[in-house]
Amino acid sequence: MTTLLALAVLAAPAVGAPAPAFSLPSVGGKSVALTDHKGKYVVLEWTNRDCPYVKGHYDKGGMQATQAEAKKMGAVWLSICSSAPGKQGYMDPETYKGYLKAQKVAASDVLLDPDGKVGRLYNAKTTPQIVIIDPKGTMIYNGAIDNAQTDNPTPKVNYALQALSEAMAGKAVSVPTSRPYGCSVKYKD
Amino acid sequence: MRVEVTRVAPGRPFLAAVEIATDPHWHVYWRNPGDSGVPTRIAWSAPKGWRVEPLEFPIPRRFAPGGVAAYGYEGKTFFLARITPSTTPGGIAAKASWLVCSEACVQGGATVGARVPLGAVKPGPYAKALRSAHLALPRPGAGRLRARTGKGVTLEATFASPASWWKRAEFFPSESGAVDQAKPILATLQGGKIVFKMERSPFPEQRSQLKGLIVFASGPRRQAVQVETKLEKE
Repeated sequence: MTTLLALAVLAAPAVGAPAPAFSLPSVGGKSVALTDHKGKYVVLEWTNRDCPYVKGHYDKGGMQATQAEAKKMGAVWLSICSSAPGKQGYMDPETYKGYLKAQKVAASDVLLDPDGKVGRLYNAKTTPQIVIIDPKGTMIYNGAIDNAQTDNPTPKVNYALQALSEAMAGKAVSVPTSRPYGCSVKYKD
Repeated sequence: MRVEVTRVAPGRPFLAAVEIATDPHWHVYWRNPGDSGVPTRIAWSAPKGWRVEPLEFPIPRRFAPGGVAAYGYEGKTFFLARITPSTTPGGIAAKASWLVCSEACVQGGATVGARVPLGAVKPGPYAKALRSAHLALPRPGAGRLRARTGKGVTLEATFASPASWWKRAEFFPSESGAVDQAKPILATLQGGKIVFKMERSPFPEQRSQLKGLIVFASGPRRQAVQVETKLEKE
């Protein structure tokens, strides 16, 4: 039994498998659980405001536009910050509120994961990294936000929006995984 | 920019390198950056008719800040090219871009150049350092290779003349998407046969080949062979 439990903990959630349940406090102070959004598509975005790749996506408004588009399509967008206190990207909720306003972040909710529990549960490696969960709770995408770091990114593909629109149209997701690029998630040591 | 020679001659290749130096505990990335990071990129330019061959990146090291694997370089590293001049005079340049990380990450980039006038070829102050960096690059591996994928991925390598004194062999996949990189990929050396047992990548991509480096180490000494083999289905 002990062995089985250990295996269950070690096995990273995979595309096609159920997304693990979690609950985290939002920047606004409420508790947000994955089960709150059952029946909807949920996008998880790992973020760290000071990671240059995250900054690159936000400073030009690209991430906010992707968030707004996903919400328009009916999805819930949860940004998660797994930076530990003292590590890059960690902010107390009040500072975070100011950042969200200044940067016009368009996520449905922004969740704080300072002990890294949910990041580790999902085996999140980088910021930005995107995980998409379908209305049945199955993970349908895990990887990069787009193909900007592939060798020849033409045409440019936003993997998150592509996966959402394919799945919503009842099609198979053509790119269900990709290598997430960017900074490592700044977990607690 | 570091150059092997102070003057160059048409048709006679020489070594040039972009030197990237990081502070202690900071690293830039290999071609396959691992589970985070971004590859270092070097784009060379030279006068018309010159041949520029970017060489392999040096043998990377493995870092795991906060448990997330990274392949790259700390300290001073030469990113080499072999350049063969034509009769057209001019200088050489390289545009480098990198992501450098420790706890935090910073994007960087620079364009560097060197004047390399045509004339009597003479070694410059960096000749020795560049030649030894060149000798230390990963080399094509002369051995029998077999890679199979099923539930996991297995790589078997048999070398004709194994150096028995190597204490450790580690596999560095040069493309992501084939195998899990979260933990060091270590082999037990059994005579000439080296077997790596790996997990599949959590971010799988369609791969028909397994490519990478087998890095042999004994204390601080390291040597790498390039391996590339068909990935057979089990």
